[in-house]
Amino acid sequence: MRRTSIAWGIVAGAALWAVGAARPAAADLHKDEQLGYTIQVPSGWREIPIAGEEKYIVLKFQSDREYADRIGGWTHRPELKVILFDPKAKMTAEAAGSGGFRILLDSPYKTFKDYVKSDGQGGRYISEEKDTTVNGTATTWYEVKYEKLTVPRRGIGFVYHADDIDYCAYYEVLEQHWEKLQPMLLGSLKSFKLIPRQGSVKRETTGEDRVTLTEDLSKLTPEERAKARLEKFERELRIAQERLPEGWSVKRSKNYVVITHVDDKYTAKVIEQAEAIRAWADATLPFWGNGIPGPALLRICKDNDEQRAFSDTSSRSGWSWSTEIVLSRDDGFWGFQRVADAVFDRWLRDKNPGLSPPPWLSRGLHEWVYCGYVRAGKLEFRPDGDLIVALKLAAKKKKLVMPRTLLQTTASELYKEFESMGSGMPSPDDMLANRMSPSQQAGGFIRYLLAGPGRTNPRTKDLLRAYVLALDEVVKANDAKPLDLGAAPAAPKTEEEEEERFKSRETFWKDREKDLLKAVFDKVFAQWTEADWAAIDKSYTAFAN
Amino acid sequence: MRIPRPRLVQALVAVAATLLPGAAARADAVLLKDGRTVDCPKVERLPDGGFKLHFQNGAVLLKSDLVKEAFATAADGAYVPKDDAEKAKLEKGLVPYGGKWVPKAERDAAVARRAAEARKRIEEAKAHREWRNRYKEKTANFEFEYTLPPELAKGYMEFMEGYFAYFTKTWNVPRPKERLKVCLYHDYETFLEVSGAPRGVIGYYRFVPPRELNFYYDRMQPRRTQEVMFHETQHYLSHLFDLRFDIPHWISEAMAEYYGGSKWDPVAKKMTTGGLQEGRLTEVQTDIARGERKPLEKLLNNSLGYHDYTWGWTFVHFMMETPKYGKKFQAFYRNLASAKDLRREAFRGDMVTIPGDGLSRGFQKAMGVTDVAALEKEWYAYIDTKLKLESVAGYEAAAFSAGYERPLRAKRFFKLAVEKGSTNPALYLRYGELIAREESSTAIDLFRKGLELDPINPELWLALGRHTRNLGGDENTAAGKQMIALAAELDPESAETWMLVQEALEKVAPPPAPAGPPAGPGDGDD
Repeated sequence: MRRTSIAWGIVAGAALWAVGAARPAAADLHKDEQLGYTIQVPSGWREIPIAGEEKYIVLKFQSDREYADRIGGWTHRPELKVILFDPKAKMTAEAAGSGGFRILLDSPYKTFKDYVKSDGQGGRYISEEKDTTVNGTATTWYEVKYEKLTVPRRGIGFVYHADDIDYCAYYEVLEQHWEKLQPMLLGSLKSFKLIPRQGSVKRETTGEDRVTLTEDLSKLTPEERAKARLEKFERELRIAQERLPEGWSVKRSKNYVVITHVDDKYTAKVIEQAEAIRAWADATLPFWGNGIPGPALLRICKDNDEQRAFSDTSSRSGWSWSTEIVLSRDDGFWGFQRVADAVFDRWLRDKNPGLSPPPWLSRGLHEWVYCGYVRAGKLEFRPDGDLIVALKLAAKKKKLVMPRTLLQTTASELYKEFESMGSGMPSPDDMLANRMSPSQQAGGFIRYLLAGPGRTNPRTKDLLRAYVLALDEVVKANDAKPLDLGAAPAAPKTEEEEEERFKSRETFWKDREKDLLKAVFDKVFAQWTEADWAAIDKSYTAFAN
Repeated sequence: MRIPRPRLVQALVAVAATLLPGAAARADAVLLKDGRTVDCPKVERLPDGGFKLHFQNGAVLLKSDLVKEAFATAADGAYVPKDDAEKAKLEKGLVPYGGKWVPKAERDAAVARRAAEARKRIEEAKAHREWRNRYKEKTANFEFEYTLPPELAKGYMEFMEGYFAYFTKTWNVPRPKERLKVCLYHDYETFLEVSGAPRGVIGYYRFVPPRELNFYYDRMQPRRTQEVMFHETQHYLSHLFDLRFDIPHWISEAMAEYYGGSKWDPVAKKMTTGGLQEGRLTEVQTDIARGERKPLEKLLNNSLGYHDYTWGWTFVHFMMETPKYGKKFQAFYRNLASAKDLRREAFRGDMVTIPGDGLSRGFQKAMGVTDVAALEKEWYAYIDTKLKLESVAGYEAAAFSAGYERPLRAKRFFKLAVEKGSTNPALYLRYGELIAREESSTAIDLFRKGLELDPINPELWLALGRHTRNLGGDENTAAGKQMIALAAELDPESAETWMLVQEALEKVAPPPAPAGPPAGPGDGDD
């Protein structure tokens, strides 16, 4: 068997050489003078911008054609990636954050095998590996097979060994289309040439200082925070613009910068949506905190494939909470919802980074904003179908969660239904219960306050403001004092004692959350009577129905 | 299996240096019986048959019973004659080899040949760890593809054939039309990469075509490899009842866990079932300590999810091992795919399954259960009184599970495991770390014990180095740092080892020690 595989390997190698000698039928030359190389790219393929935090992938092109997996029904657009590997790279680690609490480990890819092991999707292995020369540059080529628990694919990578760095050009296609596409891919891979380099292989990225900045921000004044965020934003924008291929443009509005690859009309709608949500938040929730919301970067991709390719960064570039809000033209109406949600989320964090709202408030506000859309220049909030159904069903089955309970429900209590989800098919009763579960109802009270009778009812028209201010006060007071662990607990002396503490530790955070909710509740509703609650319950039940 | 003879090996080493002028620049290598290879600057064969691996920062001793093959290029030293007669022979140009005195050139040629063969075998062993060079072998009912050493793989092949014979006979399972492909990997990382399983999964059976089974060899816990093998194979064998029927999750996984505790005697060719899954029992006991007992009704309704592996296993063990329930339960399980009074629904493709509520009703009817609450009580009592941790594996599982949150319990079980003769190096590492602050000498002894079991374990060298350094004094500090540096040499590619080395050498801040309440939601996140 082994002899056969070696023989196959040789035969396959010869076939690659024979085919590779021919240039692809049509190809465009990509030249990168900064990094010092050229490569033929299949004609008609589009260049994908490289994300700001990406450290290793320096070029991406995507096929203009989609290929279908005839068995699984998947579709796939082949891509070319050029990646830089440094065989001599060393791992580094540094303490980050104000207390040195975080360790930032940088473990650069050294080799192609490293990259496949780390970033490959699905069961995979290197099926071939050979040394060769391409246009005078020592090269190693690899074939990768993706077989188990994945859509069967084949990858081919050529690693060109320059003096100080390895350039890798890599293609991946569906296995079914490998034979047909092989000539084109190999033609491209064998066209790679080194040219005099005018820049550096070490490129600036947006990933640095993420942790440090996040931790130190809390110590700054609102103005200082806003300035630090703005500096970071400008740097990210500059890097994003430097990495923009042809065909993209940049548009600015009062609070946002949009990098767009779609028509002006859709772009204008997205900007309008973002600004409208921002203005609504500024007007409706000024009490949320004393922070100064900053600008954000939006990116509109031509389609979902372009968006996916853009967002697909190498895993060792590190996860980054980018300021970019990314969507695609294919998202259509749903894109506006995502923009609304993302813009609002950033606004909340900028306004008060230390405030973590309880589930009824967080979920309620997000669900509300998610329904916002601009029509004829005006922001409107459409009905939330799922919430309406949840409230109606719950009211009918007498399982409506009343505001007094909702305001004191912790996240784990709210989402308890997910803990007990089994692996079998849910029964009709389970499905009904899920539709009107407490978590499905969570957004009801916010909608009551913003669009229902709560908006004008004297008891509740200022409730949202009072609650948020009280919440902020209680959270700040809690943060200022040390955790109440009792008087420096001595180590347990027996296993029984240890078990008791283990049990109580398991509920520590749940109890703490509960105490916090109660503290806020008591503060806000200190003057409320049972009659007040009865009136609100009645009003809310009517609203739910 | 070749056993290196000291005299031969000494000669081999000496000659290799003569014949291969460039050999001093080549790394020596050792192939261990568990399939790992170690490259190092120099391998020295010792008089007792063991080996000394010389690194830049120290030496590692390997007993002969750990080593399969060794390749050394440098000389250890010339032969010392015992008497005048031997001295005279040496002067005539003869040297000792294979029990005789032969001309030096003849010995040199033979030794060089053996050295080249050893090197080749080591390189081949390394090459076979690449999936493209995997071994392939067919047995009566399986097609094996694997990257671990053939001697190890053979044992698992025998297990599986024995299990197949036992299960198909016991459960009257129809013989399949084709062999099942079984893929067995030499370590976890290779299993993850090639099988495509997400991290956290330790084995799987793919039940749609192309059907196959994937799992890996855990060299630190070979017993666990066997458990996983039995577990996943059980899925396959039960699937043979009816290929179009998906056995509902709780009973499928719980039964697989039950059989995961089986033992196969290769000599007597005998399978013994009903063994304890002590790791799972530990999880159940931890839940109970937290004040949680899973309701039987939820289990029967297929609503427990992950707990089907833990609580589910205890229930199946209760059913299968309790005489008044055993036969009825087996009949219920066997007839899931075919019993006419059970309602089945479409599941995936052309497969069918039984929904939760139907499964629960079917169980109650088949078992004659009218009071689920009473049965639940009986089940809980079974867990409390009949399922006990008794073996080394059980003590290990309990110790690891208790971890840093329940140190007293952890210490008790670590101690029991050591007393029972645990051969798990990871156990000695964890135990040592747990007690290092109060009992540094005992901790150091534990690390050394761990290194006797696994001399090339970088984490143990790290721990030993760190705590030796912490003893204070110039000598301990220097020795400790050297051990830490040795750990980095043993595992130069691992980011985890590198991080630990940096932390041990104080090049980065250590993570905060666990104290007070556990990390809460949102801690450490942006």
